[in-house]
Amino acid sequence: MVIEVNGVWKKFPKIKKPNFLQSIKQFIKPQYKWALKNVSFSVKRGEIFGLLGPNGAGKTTLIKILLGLMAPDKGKVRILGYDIQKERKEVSGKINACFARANLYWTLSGYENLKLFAKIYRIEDYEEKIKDLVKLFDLKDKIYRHVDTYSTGEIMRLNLARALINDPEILFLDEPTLGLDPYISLKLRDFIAKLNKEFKTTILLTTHYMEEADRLCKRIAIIDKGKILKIDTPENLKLEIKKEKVIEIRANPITQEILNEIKEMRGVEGIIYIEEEEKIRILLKNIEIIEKITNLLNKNKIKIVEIQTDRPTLEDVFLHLTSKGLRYQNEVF
Amino acid sequence: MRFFKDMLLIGVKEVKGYYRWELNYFWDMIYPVLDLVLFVTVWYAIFQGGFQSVGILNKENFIGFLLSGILAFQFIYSPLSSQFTQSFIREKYRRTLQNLLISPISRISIPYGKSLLSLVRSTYSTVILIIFSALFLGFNLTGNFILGIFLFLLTFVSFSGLGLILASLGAWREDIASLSWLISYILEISSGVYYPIEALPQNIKEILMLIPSTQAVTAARLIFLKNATFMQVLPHLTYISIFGIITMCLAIICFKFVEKKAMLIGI
Repeated sequence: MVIEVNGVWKKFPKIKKPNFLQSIKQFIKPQYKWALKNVSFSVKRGEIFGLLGPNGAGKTTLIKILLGLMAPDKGKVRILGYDIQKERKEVSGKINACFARANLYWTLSGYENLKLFAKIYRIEDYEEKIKDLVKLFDLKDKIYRHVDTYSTGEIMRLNLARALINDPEILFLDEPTLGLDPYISLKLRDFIAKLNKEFKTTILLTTHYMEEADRLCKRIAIIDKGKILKIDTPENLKLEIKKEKVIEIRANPITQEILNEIKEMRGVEGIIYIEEEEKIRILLKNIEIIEKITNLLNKNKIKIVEIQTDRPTLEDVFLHLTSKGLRYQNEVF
Repeated sequence: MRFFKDMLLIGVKEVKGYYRWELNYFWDMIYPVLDLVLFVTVWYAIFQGGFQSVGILNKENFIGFLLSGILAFQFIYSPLSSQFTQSFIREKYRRTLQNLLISPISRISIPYGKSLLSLVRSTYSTVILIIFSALFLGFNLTGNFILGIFLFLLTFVSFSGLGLILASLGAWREDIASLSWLISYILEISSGVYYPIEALPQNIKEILMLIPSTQAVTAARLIFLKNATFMQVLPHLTYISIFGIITMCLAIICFKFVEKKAMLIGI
């Protein structure tokens, strides 16, 4: 096992950036909220392990603890056999990370960014290494230009190149495709898969995109409110809901009241409203409930455009485990 | 060894990043020159009005008086400038600090490396001021230059300690960063950069002499106006060194405190 996480707990002050009075109040009567609750898992060498959860689930806190950027309140983390809190120096040259929203020096060129980190990681033949990475990420035309002239996709590629400068044994990717357009996301996912296949790099990936986790990860941990709800392969996770049915109804106009009413119906396990597609995705305990739902929609003069059953996705698994959607803003809780 | 290599890497990165904007060369040139021109004009007018002398300052040496004071203050101001403290805040928000902190870099080398930009800027301004004085004011700086450079470096290192304290605390609470502006402003007024503190009442003069920046400015004037020897400025150098040792120790404590705090609530 290259990553071992045992019983990690982490709490934060309830007010994250307190003003002066709030600081005094926090000092006199500390109030905390738990960001991670007894998190345990392990990752094998060469595996792509996904942490799948909505925003605020605790994914980034966990990744920061794994990287030694934050200390847990309780529990142990071992990376490549070393205690990351006490033996950070032993392990820091063998790991690397790429965070959401590229973190590069914008006033330096792409080449200067790579060279800086190559020197920090004490890469002897760094010119050769940079050349390889530039080729791999197709950055040849831009590499001597300042980073602030790069497009979003180029920045992300450069950031990944930077994260690979030391040939890390473990690569931590925190929401690597956040904010990228679908084409670049697709290319990036291809690259992550290739990296794992060709270089046997162990990858820990956090994401709230189910298709990303589904496509890339050998195993997935579903995390919500700081708790790991389930760890398994994507296939096994989907088997979790083989008894339930998934239906999609395209209809308009959909109101919050209607969504609430459907949610309250007996037999409805979860509901997500995908606003941009005017589509309701419903997880049902039995298929007979469809009639009740269509009656409700008709009664409220809502035009049903299409009804279809669908195969369960990780989104539905998440819905099944938490009774809420993973990625859409207009989901019903 | 690793510390120095890492410090240099960060320093070079800071210098490249800062001078990527060509106008920064201009600003670093123009501000100290404007300072000098303004006060040369003021004192010229005062001497034209019939004023004779006060302390070390007289009609013949007022350009040298101002120049040596401003030169010394370059090495006080720059490690305290908001540019230095803001640089930490920028790294924190752009998340580049995370990349550094997960790497095998010596963490303490990060703030020290950042302070190298201040040293480069001070040196650049110093060269510009000396050239400007010679070309446009007809004043050639004389004195023991090696001792002068030693004084400037010692002043820079000592005040970097104070700069590092403010930068570390600024990385923790952004509002503390503004304090660097206030402190450098107070030091500028109280060190006698633009006026002879001998003109002030004895008790105020004694208080101002306790401020390390006043010691640095005074020593610079002794070197460049009175051609003082090492032994003659030794008391001033000792004072600045003691201040430097204290602030450096406090800076390390502050940095460790902020690092510990960051480990608790995240960076």
